[in-house]
Amino acid sequence: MNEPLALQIHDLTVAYKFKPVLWDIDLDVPAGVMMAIVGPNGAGKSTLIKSVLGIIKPLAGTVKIFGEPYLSVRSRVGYVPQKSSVDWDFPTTVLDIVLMGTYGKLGWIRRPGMQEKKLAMTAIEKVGLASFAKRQINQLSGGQQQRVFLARALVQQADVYFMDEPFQGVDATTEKAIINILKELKAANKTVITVHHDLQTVTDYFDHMVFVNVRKIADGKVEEVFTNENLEKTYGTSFNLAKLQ
Amino acid sequence: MNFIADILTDYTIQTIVMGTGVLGLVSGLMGTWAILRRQSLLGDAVAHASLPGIALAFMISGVKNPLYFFVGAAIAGWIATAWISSINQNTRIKSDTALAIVLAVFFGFGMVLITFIQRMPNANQAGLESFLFGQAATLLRQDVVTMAIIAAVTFVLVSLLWKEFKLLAFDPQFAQTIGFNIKVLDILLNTLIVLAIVLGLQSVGVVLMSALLIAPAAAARQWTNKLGVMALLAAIFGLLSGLIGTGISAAVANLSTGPVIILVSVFIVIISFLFAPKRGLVAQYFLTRKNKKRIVKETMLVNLFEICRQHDDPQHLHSVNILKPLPGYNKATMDKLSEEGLIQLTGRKQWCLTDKGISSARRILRNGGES
Repeated sequence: MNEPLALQIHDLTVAYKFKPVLWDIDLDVPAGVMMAIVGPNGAGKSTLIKSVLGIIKPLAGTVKIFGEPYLSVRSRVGYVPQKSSVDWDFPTTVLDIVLMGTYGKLGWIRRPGMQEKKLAMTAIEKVGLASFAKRQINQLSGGQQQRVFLARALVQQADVYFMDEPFQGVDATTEKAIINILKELKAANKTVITVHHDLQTVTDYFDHMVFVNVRKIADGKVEEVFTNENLEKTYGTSFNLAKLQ
Repeated sequence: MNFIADILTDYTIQTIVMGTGVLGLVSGLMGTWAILRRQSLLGDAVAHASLPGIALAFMISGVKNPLYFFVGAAIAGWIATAWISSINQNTRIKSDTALAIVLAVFFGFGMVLITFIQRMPNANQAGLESFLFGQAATLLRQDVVTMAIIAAVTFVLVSLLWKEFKLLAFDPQFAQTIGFNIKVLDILLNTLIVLAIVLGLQSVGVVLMSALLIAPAAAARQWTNKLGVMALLAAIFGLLSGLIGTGISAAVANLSTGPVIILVSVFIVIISFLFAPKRGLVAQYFLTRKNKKRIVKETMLVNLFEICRQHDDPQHLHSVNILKPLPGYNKATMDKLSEEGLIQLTGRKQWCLTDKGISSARRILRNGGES
């Protein structure tokens, strides 16, 4: 792999109003890994993703994706926000939302055409929603909403994907669909960086991980850093790793 | 029906009808975005906040020129919008509080200025307070031309930036990550909303204008799940409110136009909330009732089937006395089931599942309650 690191974070500090949310984070993520961002509630996991994507302005620090600042490589970046971040009663269809993934490449004013629709339909089929394409988004279950966001990200045809808790509150079908997509992305040598809450599945779904609780606690290959010691440092309570796995 | 002839021939009424019609179209269209971005209250704050702009425009120019009022109101409304977003971004004050603060400060200041102007030794000052509730009769042809130009620009911009505004309204953070400057988009969309509001101050007034922004769009949302159709319907509802409201006030003596327009738009909202298919209250009521009945019926069928299973006899006869304590048992339910050929009455007050009933019960159980 001659590709530069997928993500380099250097001295990143972020604060909301008064309290620091992330403190002096340094993190290197090699290309082609599946990485889980793990930490307790309020540890700054989502903030980490959002400051990488430029949604939140950090107080200090630099972020590089494939060796370049975000603005110059954003067409190689895909984003799956938390599904609770939008209003699902918005009057539109599944296809229309997934098409939004093509807007970045289309740029201002140009509308999606046949080619973009084809791309969107392929992504919708991949997440198992083919019969839902024309469905109103307010008729979807939580799991289906999550898959719509995943399809929208696939349409972005990115090289690195940032996902904010894609497994949260989804049914078994959706979980399976997401895992299959993750595997496919890995096979295509894409990088996936995912905020993940479920400690029991970290070893199954991911090969790399980073523990975050305001500061970075540890990062690296899952089999090396997924230890009792790091869990304790991150969550402040003791864990029985054997039980978790 | 005299007034229809009046509208067609009377120059003044023609002018007013055109003005309020254009106003309705634009405010319906922009109201769609205000509602989808959950900014319904922003319109109210902007409308009220434009009052000091109008007063200052008069104090500076010394003349009652609608164009100056328009510019003054737009600037004041726009400053209020910017102030509200800055409070939201930079302080811990909640957004409804921010709206209330800005509305009160601007409107209060506007009222002070208007009282001050009324005491000024200038013969020209009378009638500024008519901006509170609007006075459509003051609309001139050239005002209508100004309104039409602004409306046309708004329509062109909204259709050009349709995809961008949709993305901004649905998922602004995603919009930002894929390279759209959401600050610019946000300012542009807010400016268009402010313009739509300011267009209505002369005829509908500061106090009621936000209703004309919100009502047509809220009504339109009830009838459709498509953004394009919603915007189109909202524009049509706005247009109808303007036309019908002006018509009524022209036909009946001493009815001021602005409030009547608002009443018409509110009437459309009431009709829509009650009678729209699917989202309407009446449709929801019947849908809920139908579902309840279906569930009661299906529960009864499954209960009968379970009893049969316990007796290991699909043809087991259920006597009415035994069924009575079951939840949901009543004559109507049993009649309905028998009407559909799912159960039949055999012998003395004894029900028995038919073959069709048995397979139907199996299907319900298999599908977890859904037939």
